[in-house]
Amino acid sequence: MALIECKDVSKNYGSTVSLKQVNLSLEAGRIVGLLGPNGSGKTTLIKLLEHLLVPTSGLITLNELAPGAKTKSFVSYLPDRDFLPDWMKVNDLIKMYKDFYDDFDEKIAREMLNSLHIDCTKSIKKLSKGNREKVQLILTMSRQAKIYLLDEPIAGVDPAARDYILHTIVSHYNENAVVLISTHLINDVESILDEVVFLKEGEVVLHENADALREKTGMSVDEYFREVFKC
Amino acid sequence: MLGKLLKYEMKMFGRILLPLYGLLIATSVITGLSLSAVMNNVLDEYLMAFMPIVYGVILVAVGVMTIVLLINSFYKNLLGREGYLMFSLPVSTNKLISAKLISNVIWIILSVLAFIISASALAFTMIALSGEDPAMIITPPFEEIAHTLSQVTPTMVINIILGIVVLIVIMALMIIRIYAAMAIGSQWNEHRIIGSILAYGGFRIAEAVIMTILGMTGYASHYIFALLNRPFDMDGVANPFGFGLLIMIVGFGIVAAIYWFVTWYFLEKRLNLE
Repeated sequence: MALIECKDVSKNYGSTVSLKQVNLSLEAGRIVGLLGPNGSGKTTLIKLLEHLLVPTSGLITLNELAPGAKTKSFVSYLPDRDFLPDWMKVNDLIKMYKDFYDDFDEKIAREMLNSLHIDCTKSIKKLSKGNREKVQLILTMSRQAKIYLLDEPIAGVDPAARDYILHTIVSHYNENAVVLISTHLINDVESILDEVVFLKEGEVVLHENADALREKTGMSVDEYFREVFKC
Repeated sequence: MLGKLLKYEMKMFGRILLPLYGLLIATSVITGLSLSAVMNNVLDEYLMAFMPIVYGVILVAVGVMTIVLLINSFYKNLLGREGYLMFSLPVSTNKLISAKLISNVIWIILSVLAFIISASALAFTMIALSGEDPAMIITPPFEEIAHTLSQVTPTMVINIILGIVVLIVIMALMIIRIYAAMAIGSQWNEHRIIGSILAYGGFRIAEAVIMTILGMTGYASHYIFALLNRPFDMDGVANPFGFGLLIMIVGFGIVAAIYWFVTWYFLEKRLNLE
């Protein structure tokens, strides 16, 4: 049974077509890369799954439910920007996540924050940009969710932080979950991906097992991506 | 879930307003002290102008901050980047709106109470330092109040309760109208604030037009007069005044429900986060 199911999903903004007849079926136990250039519709698709947008047409089901308040209880979403209230302290946010999400594991969150020497008594606005992004990621990955939606989790961080983030993703997601990572930095992310989905101008042009793709093409996913999306 | 949301809403306001309330009350006592000192020729007259001005400024600050927080709790916390957090919580859009509305009404009431307490504190401070017997000054007004209260009938109590409900419904209407305007304004990416102001203006114009039409057709007044022609119970809710208040509650309630639906629609179906 697919955890994420999209059937003929389209999204228009006025006359602009952002997604065109997307059909996608993602099963549990996979880390899936949603890959495409800027403007290809990656963020739109993720926002549709998180019910921050509604499709113009088509059907989305998450664990056989339509996106809404109920699915948010088992979908853990990391937006591609700062989203935490900057007046709140890290401790306050841990309490808030614990309050609202039954699947939030405070112990894991504190372990990760301690290992990065992040002062939980500090407010978000007093943290450096890198630490802020790490706090956001840690809060997201400390949930034992069924679906993780990570929108450009490594785009704004330095290479060392990138490694940490990718390591955190791999070691903290549970095997009954699916992790969907949207990114255009394929080289960095490639090694952790089980499956790849290529999105071109709002359409799914490829959905394959990463190893199988590498064998078939004789190239890395990054190299093949550059071929497919050559300007 | 609503309770949890309310907890965070109250915290968001409380961290700014509670210290301001404390400052307001402290300033009112100091103002009372300084005014008394000036009146007793202990201090120079220039202080007469200084402290009341400070008190006035803080009073205005409390009012302005209450409104700023009201608007920001929606604009920044729901429509801004914090909206990514709020709309990812496993709660319905209706609960998000409810929590904000309830919290805003509570804080408006608390701000009014803070003003009343500070004004009382100022008055009591001056009375205490006036050299007069405080009992001579305070007792007569309280005796008046006690006398009035002893003459209150159950009907009056019902009317007072209905009157308070009307005030709350009007407050909620004013707030949800602002939310609806911001929800519509957020559709216009580069000009959210202008869009919100235009939407708000549009609402006020529409309300005025509809009220005029209703007034001109006489429909509303005929209907209400017909209702008023029914035999009234002078006690209980069906007393004329209480009934009028009830009609206001229903009327304003319907308008507020319309704005609620508009807000819900644009947040649920047309969410446009930064």
